[in-house]
Amino acid sequence: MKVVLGRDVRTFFTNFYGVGFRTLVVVLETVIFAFILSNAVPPGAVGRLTYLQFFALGSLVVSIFWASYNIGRDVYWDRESGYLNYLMSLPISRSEIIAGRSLGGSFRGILTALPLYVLAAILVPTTALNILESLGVLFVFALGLCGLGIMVSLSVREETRARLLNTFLSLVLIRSSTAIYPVVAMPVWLQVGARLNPVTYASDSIRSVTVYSQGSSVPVLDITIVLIFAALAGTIGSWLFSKMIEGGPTE
Amino acid sequence: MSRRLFTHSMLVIAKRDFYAHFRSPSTTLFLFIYFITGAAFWAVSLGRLVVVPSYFQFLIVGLTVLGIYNTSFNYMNVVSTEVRRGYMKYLLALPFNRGGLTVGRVLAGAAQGMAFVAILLAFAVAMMGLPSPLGTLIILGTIVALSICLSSLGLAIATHFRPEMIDPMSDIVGLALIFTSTLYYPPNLMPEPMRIISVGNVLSAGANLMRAGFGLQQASLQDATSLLIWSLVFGVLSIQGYYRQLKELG
Repeated sequence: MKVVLGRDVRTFFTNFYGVGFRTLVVVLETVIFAFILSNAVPPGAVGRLTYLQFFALGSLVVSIFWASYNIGRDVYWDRESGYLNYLMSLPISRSEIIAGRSLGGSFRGILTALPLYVLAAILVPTTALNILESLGVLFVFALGLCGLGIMVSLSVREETRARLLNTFLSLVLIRSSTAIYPVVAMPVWLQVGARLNPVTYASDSIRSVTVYSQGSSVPVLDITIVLIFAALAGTIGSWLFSKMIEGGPTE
Repeated sequence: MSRRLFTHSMLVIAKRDFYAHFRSPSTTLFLFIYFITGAAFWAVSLGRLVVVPSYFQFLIVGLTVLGIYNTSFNYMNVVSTEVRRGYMKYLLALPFNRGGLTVGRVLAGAAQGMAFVAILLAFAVAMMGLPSPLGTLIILGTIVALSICLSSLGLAIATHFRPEMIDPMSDIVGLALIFTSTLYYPPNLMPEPMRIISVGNVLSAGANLMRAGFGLQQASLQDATSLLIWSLVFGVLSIQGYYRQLKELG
C-alpha cells in the first residue's frame, strides 16, 4: 500500500510546474480577487468572518478538490497504459492497491493545500488544534473525492468523454457550493443544489472547525455528512475499481 | 500576382487553423461549460452578495471578455507546438507567401476568439437585453480589436521566447492581465496602484468598452485608444516574431 501511495504522491509532484501554477492561481484569487471584493461585501453577510477570510478557508477545499479528484484520471490512464497489469503482477494484494490509490490521492491533496493553509492561518488566526482538526476533516473529504473521481472516470470508456464529464462535475460541484460564496447569496434554486452538494458541507465544516472556540457549537451535522459522503463514495469507487481489476484493465 | 498570393496564403492558413480548432469539440465544450457555470452560479451568487450596482451584468461582460482571452490568446499553443516540433518547415514548403502566412496566423487566432464569443455574447444578450445600434457597433468593434490584439500577443510570446520559456511566460502574462484588469471588479474597489495599472490593461479596455456597449457605463476614448495602441504593438511584434522564425528556417 505504501508503494502505491508513494508513487501516486511522487508522480503528482513530478509535474511541479502544473501544481505550483494551480496553487499560485488560488493564492492570487485569495489575495487579489477576494481582498478587493471584500470591500464590497457588507459586514455580517458571511457570518462572523470577512469575505476575505471566508474565501481563504473555502479555497482550501477547492485546492484539495482539484488534487484529489484527479486521482480518477490517473486510474483511467493506468488502465489505458496497462500499468495496472504491472501493479497486479507485484506481490501486493488488490485491496492494498485500492486503498493505496485513495490514500495517495488524499495525501497529495493535503500536501497541495499546505501553502494555502499558511495563508489561511495568517488571515484567520486560530489555534494549532483547530488547524489539525480541520486537516483531519479535509483528509476524510479528500478520501471521498478520490472515490468519486475513480467512480466517474471508470464509468466512462472514452477518454474525451471522461475528461469532459470530470470538468463538468468539478465546475458544477465547486461553483454550486459554499466554497466561494455563502448560501444566503444564492438564488433559491441554487440553494437547493448547494444543500445536496458535499463540497458545501466540507467548506462549512472547515470554517466552523477553524474558527471554533469554547462556547461555539461543533458542526456535527456538516462533519457527519462529510463522513457519510467519504464512506459512500469511497466504497462505490473501490468496488468499481476492484471490479475493473477483476475484469482486466483493457476491458 | 503577389498581392493575390498574399491574400490567398492568408485565407488558406486562417481557414485551416480555424477549422482545426473547432474540430476539437472537447476544447470548445470545456470553455463553454466554464463560462456557463461561471455565469449561472458564480455571477448570480456574487451579484447578490457584492454591493456594487449591476454587479451580475458587470461580471457577465467580464466573463465574456475572459472567453475571448481563453480562445484568442491560447491560440499561441498551436504555434508554440509547431515551433517546438519543427512543423513550421512543412508550412514553408507550401506555395504560400510568407507575409500572407504570418498575417493568416494572427487572423486565425482572432477568428477563433470571435466565433467562440458569439455563443457567450448570445447568452449575455439574453441576460441583459439587446444593446442599442451604437452599442452593438461598439461591442462588435471591441470584439474584433480585442481578438486580434490577444491573438497577436499570444503569437508574439510564442515566437519571441525559447520553447521552454513559452508556457511560464504566457502564464505570467495571463495572470498579470487577468488579475489587474476590471474583468472581476470595478476600478473604484481596487487599491490605488492597481487602479493605475488597470487603466493600461488591454483586458480592462475591452471589458470597459463592451460594458459601455451594453449601457452599463460611459464609453471612454482612453479605452479605445489603449486597445488600438496595444493591438498595433502586439500586431507588429507577432508579425516580426513569426517572420523571423520563418526566416531562420530558410
